[in-house]
Amino acid sequence: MKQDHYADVGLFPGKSTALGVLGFILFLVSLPLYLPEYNFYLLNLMIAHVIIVVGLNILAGGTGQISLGHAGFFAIGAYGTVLLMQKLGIPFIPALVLAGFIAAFFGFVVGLPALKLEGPYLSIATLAFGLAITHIIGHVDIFGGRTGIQAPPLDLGIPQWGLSYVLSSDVQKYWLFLVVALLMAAGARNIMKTRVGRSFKAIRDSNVAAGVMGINLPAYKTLAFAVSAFYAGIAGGLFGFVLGFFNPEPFNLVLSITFLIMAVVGGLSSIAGSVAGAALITYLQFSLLKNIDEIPYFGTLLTSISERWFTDEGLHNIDSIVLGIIMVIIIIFEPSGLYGVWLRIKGYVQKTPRDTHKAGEV
Amino acid sequence: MPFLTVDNISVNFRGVKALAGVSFSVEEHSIFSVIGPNGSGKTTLFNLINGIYKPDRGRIVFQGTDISRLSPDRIARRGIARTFQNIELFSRASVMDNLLLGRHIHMRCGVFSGAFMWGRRSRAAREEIENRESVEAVMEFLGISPLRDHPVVNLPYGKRKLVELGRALALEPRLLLLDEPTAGMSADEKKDLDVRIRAIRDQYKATIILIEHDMGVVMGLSDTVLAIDQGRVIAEGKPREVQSHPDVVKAYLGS
Repeated sequence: MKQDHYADVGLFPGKSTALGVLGFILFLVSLPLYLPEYNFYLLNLMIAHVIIVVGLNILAGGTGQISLGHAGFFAIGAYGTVLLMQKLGIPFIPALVLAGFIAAFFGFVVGLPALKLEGPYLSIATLAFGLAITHIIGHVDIFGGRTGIQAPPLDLGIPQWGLSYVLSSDVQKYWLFLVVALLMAAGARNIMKTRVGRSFKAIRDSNVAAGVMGINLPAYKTLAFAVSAFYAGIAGGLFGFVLGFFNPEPFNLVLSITFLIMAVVGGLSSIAGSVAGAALITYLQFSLLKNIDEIPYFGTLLTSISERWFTDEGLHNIDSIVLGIIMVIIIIFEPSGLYGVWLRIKGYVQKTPRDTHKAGEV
Repeated sequence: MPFLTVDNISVNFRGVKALAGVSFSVEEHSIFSVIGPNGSGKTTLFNLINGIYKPDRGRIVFQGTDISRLSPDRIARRGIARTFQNIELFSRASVMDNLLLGRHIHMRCGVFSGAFMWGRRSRAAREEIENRESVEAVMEFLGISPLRDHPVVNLPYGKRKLVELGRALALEPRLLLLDEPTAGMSADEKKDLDVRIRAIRDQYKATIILIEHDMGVVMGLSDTVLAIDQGRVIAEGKPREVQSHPDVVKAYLGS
């Protein structure tokens, strides 16, 4: 008989994990001490992606519903935060949270077809939403149209009252973003460990049994969309301040698919996997693969191969190609993604039989 | 007032009559068995009581209210739980999580209280601990405590049946529907289950409706037996009477 049930649901399963996580957080907080400032644009971008992918995982990994419209919620968060600040004079933090709730409302609405549609049909419905939202934004003046809008200074205080605390550098923003991301990740993990998350997983495994056990299917299916969209909205709000100036263009279908790739590469059953997947893919896409032609010898070789057989523009689409290959490899060899790889390593180290379904999975 | 009354219920699937005017009632704290050849409509009957199907005609009255048009989750909230013929567990979750899902209707925690589960004094954590303790008691009762953290996919068939029964019990049902609980079990396991079903009635104060093919189990357990064939009631009464009823014999042996 088990004595302490809290150990099963508490944020950390044991002392060693608690220490490990604490150490990792300290490392992240202290990063600005060792890394030059120019890296923090990329890190901030990573954090925004981590938040949205964690949210996407609640939907896709939780209830098994695939969304191809998350860039739409992301856009709502970005535009919502900036416009609430500019037009209504709402301070940053409340504006961000409010934008999250606006996105959640849209998530709820987009989730309504989920009551009738399943699998690919539902994905197509979300796809339509993602495409529509950027077109609407592009045609309305208040959103800045195709040219875009400028995010105001990131002020943590209430400027109207003379309380101003402007975060101007990327490093300052990084610390703020880090706090937001940690709160969101811990929240996601808690949600998945308690009643609501369990119900999401129940819906994924057996619709019929979930209903018979008293789970209100329509409510929970739309709730999953709303929660996931809330995460996307918060992530989008931060993303707007990473870019500073933005237009509807980046919030396209490819971005939605990229988020899905991040979630799958990380592993659809784990929050930690989502964090890793988002960070890794962001790094590959925005750093390594962008500059791959600058790597001595290897880069030159790739460029010449590409120019000889594929295109005259050098390594134009290599990021899409590499991401596609990674996705295929993951799906074939390790469907539980980076989280599965981690379990495998842990299994070898501990010399115990591997069990992908064991504790820690959400 | 009877505990459960099924009143002249009919349902068609694309013109095929699955049930045609079935009526019966079940007394509280009794064990009621439904027998009949394959395809006679037994599971359809369960699906109607559960709200998975809606009847074309007729009513199902549970403790004085007509539940025949309610959704499955609302019916569950009234205290009706079930197991399935082809085990419907949440396969990627652990035994513990499966049973906790049985506690769903007794828990309150939503997205916000869940997300803010900071420390063991938080509302969500207290609720989790409380319900995990009551699930532990159910596991103890069924003898599956050692399996608590195992994912159900890896469990043998007999154990999965027990987990499913545990999930239904965790709901604290007033009415428990068991769809072929002994299917695929060995003679020993059957004897075991026989004892358990009585214990469920006595300890959990549940009324039990049983679909069962094993006549030994049916005869030993049931207070009342209902025989159906091709969607119609052919006999109802004490086990012995039904067993020797000429129509029942005919339905089972073929004429």
